Amino acid sequence: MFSDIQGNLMVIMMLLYLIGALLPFLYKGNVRLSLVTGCITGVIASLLGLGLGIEALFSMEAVKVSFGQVLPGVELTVQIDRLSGFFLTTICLVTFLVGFYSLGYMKIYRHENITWWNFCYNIFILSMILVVTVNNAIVFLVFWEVMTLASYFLVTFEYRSQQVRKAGFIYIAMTHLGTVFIIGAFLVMAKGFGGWGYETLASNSASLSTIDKSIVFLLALVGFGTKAGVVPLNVWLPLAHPAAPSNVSAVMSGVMIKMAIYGMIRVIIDILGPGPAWWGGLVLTIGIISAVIGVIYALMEHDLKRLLAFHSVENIGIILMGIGTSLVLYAWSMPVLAAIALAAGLFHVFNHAIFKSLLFLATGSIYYATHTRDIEKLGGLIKRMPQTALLFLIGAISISAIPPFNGFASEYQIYQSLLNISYLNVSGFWSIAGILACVALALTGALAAACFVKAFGISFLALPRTKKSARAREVPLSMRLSMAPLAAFCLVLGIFPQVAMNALTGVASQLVPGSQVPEITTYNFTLALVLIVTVLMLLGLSRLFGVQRVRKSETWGCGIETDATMEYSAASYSQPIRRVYRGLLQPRRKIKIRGKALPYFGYNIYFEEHVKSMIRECLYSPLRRLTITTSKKWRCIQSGNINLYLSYVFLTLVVLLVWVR
Amino acid sequence: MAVKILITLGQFGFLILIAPLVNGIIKKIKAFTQCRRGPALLQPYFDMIKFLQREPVVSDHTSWVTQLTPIICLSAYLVAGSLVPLWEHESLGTGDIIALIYLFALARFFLALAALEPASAFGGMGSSREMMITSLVEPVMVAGLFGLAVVAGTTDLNGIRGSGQQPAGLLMFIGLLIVAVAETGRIPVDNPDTHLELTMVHEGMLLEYAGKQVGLLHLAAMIKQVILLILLVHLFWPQNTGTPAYLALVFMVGKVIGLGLVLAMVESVLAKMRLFKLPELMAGGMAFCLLAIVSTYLI
Repeated sequence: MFSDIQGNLMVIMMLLYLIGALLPFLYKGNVRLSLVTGCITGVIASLLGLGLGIEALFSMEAVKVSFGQVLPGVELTVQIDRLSGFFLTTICLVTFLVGFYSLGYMKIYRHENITWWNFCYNIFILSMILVVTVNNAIVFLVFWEVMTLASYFLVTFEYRSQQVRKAGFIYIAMTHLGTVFIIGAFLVMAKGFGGWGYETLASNSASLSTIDKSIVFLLALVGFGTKAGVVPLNVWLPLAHPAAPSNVSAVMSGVMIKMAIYGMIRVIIDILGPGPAWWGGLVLTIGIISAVIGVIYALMEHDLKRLLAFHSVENIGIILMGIGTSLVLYAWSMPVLAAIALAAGLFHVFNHAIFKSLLFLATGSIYYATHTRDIEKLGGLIKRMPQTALLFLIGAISISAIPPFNGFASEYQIYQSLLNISYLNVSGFWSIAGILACVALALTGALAAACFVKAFGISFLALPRTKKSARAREVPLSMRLSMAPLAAFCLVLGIFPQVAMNALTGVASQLVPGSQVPEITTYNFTLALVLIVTVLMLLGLSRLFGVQRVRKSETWGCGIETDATMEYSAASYSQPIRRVYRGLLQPRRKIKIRGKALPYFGYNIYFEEHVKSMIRECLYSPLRRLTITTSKKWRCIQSGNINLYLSYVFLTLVVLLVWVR
Repeated sequence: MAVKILITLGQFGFLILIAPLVNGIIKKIKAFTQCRRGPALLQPYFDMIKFLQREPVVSDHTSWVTQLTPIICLSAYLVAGSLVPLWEHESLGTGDIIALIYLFALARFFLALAALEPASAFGGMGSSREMMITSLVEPVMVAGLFGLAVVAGTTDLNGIRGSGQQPAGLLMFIGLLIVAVAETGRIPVDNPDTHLELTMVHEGMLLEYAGKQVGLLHLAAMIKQVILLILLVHLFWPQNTGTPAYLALVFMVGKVIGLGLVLAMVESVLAKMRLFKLPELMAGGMAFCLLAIVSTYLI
């Protein structure tokens, strides 16, 4: 049945994940042993998957393993082409390191049900791998559901907390809503009954009219967009990510939401093929909105994980800008430029997976050391956790798109692709749109930098604000060591982006027919080289002239000894931005004066400011109210009387019979 | 290759040498318009020499971030400066305008972090305001520079030489001049001369630095100012092709000083704006850039 070595490896990998999921049940009493068996088996499986993924990324032919029919007419076939290979690489690279990290990190959950966590975690990874590798819509949907369920149980791991349960509920409700749209998209494409394989769907959809194609496009966009967390379908993201343990958030934010990107590319570009230019325009617009809204809300957050969750919304927006550009260029039949834009989007997918999981793991380390995620309660951690601080800083610089790290490398490519829209000068409208998209990307970058100066500055620099933070100790070596490769990837990909870009144009040219992309060259290597040489040169000179020989002294506090209450807090740091963008954020402030209002002293002033999610208030609340009022009106048909229900059944039957005849 | 490296090193030296002079001239012109005699033309050099002899003192609460920031800022600006060709030569080819914009972001990122480190409220205030101003300035900068890049068909800095020389260029120039004013921390956005803590932005971030380190940071700020002026000259008013290199260099210095005069006059006739009026100013800059972009496609 399995003809070649890759097929065997694929099967071994899948079996290993299953073993990793089930084996810990044998050691249920022993937390340590069950954690080690589960994680290590998963890590080995991820390593196998990584090898398979990289192999597939560069090979010409897809690896194909068939498991025969699982349902009548539905075949379970694993087919790893370049696109699947790329996503497989991303999944396995991140989960490989997260697996090691979990060995240390899960110790803080030793009183919880570790065996159950292990089961869900390994099944979760396996289902993600199958989602990107199967070549059949029905099987895809099955594993998509398994992925959702497994991640739901991971999110609700600390189910005793009311907040976590609520987050889990919203997560599963939203993603199921999304799945409805995905099923709809597949149903329209299947049209009649030719089968559910991707190839059949592709040949079916070639005969679809433009309107039908557009319907499929919209359904897929909404369906996958929900999972990806694009604005306004992002409500679950900032709730679910903080609820889950940090290592799970790293996988969910770094990898799982990218499954939706995979789905979009597979359905819209691979199966549907070129469409009208407005598809691209729509994706681009959604990308811009998500990026800007995501980053602005991130700035307002003080919970590190919620902050990072909003940044996922932002980065998904940036990725969609790349994909949207690609769709526009594809519609104009510029296959080479379309492939480059798609590769830029995929490059950002990979980079975001790397630096976002790094940031989530570093946040997990902070939580491990201080038991808080509230940056207002941190501070001064750079002295106590120097290595974690460096790793977090590298992640922060990367996500802020600052050279010479990888975030800059992929945003550079996206800028160039957006400018390609303008260079082509198809019409004044599109040329201006290209520049405006660049402007939005610049705004996003500047705000992201502000946000991460806040996140790093408030939590790691200056004085500790609470005892928890003052007593923090560096996390175990295994946790630091599993973050270090991610940080190294941030730097290496920032300096040598052309390696990644050339591999990814290979992926893209497989999807966009007729695109032989020439070798891509970038400035990054020389830029990074010159930058590093200059820094080293100046550092050497400054040593020589004694700039680094400093005297330590107190901070000038206007005559008072400085303490932690005098430093800038996260709320005050974001205040100017909150005020400038108040049209969007609608902050509400409350000022209360208590006690006697004597002049100069003797009374307490309370100040409160809230930023409410406009999306929830303007979109979801009216929808919810509408649903409840309409349901109340229909409630009269629900009397609870069984005779009545039987008559409903009978009536329906009669109506159906009449209709069929 | 060796020639290019030499040119780059030469550019570093040129920037370091010329930056205090341009600053001195701007200060002198400002003093003149305010009927003062003002400091000596070479005062920035004397200041720099004095700073570089003083022992640096840092706060107890700081770490390597504070130590490294002056070096990173200076390097980022020097490398950014080496991207902009001074005359008709091939610059090292290490980057384009996107790299230039993001090198500025690198310097700003570290400066904003270092400002938070001494645990003083002034640094935090400066840092937070700087990042807010950046979020307003950077989009305008991108609109202006990319608008020109689209006209030139490339983002390469050699390629967009003189691309502002078109009817819409004047609008773009005004937009980018507003950007330059904001980026150099000048009135009406920020006041480089103030030492009143509550109004400082850039100076607020440097407040806890002393001695050699503050000298390097001042130098970095002056270099940034010169880079922006050189960039404006390069885009809107480059020397004719075929001018000998030494002559082009002299003209470049002359034009940069001329633009410095414009900056000084702007600073003399305007009052500092309230911080929260800045969005309106930057919206104005954005309007100029967008008008320029729209008009290039309509005409």
